[in-house]
Amino acid sequence: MGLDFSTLVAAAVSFFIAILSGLGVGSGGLFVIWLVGVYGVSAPQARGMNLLFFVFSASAALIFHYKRRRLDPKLIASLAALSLLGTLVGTHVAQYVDAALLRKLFGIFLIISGGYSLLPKALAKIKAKF
Amino acid sequence: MSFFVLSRQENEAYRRETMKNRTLNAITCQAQTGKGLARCILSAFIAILSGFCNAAIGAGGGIVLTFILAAFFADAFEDRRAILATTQAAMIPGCLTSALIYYARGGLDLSNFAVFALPALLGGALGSLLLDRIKPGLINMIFSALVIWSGFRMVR
Repeated sequence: MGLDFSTLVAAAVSFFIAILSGLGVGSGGLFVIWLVGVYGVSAPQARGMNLLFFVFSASAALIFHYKRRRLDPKLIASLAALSLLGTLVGTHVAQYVDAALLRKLFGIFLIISGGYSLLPKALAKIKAKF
Repeated sequence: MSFFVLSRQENEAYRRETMKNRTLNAITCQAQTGKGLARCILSAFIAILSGFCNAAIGAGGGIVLTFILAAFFADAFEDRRAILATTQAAMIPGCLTSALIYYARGGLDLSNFAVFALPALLGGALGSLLLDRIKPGLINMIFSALVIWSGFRMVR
């Protein structure tokens, strides 16, 4: 990928995805789909790049979160340490478990949890109107 | 100001209102009650699960952590934005470790990554600044919609 039009488009799209990441609304899916769909990057490669992309965008966002005193260092340290433990366990377990099955199970969890979060509020708003 | 955007005064009023009677003790295991212990165990489990998702699936850890913190521990945070900030900070070490493992196993080619690195830094910073100007209800709606959409992508 040289410094040409496609590079500029890549930079612009990744900039907008990073804004979503900075907003904390979950941009990983978009970045992976974009890399796989547009650039033909393999799924494992896209997942790896997505993880690194998040590290960059979240690190920049943290500076402003810190200035606004939204961060509790003790809480974050404990959550991060446990998450790291989960990462190491997940890396080991992933070698023995069907990744496609894991993705489907996780997808079902996301649909249920997203619906649980979105639908009651939407229904309450509709009820309030009648 | 409008349906989507908070004015500076609205934002400050929202911060003051939500800061009342809220403390991080609920999660940091300072509460000595049985309920406090249960919350500690649940938060520990969710943190481990979020790291597991990132390593095994390559995404979704942040979604899990944000969703569970918002659903069960919202009273422990100043507002929704504090949950998002906490999740971002907590996920960085795990994501970096996962990326390094991908790289070590030859699954990560960094030759083109420079194109994404600077936009990621600038976009992440701008996103966190915009967080102050967007109503929490709207953020929640966008987040939930993206969660459902990601779920359908994974199931397909």
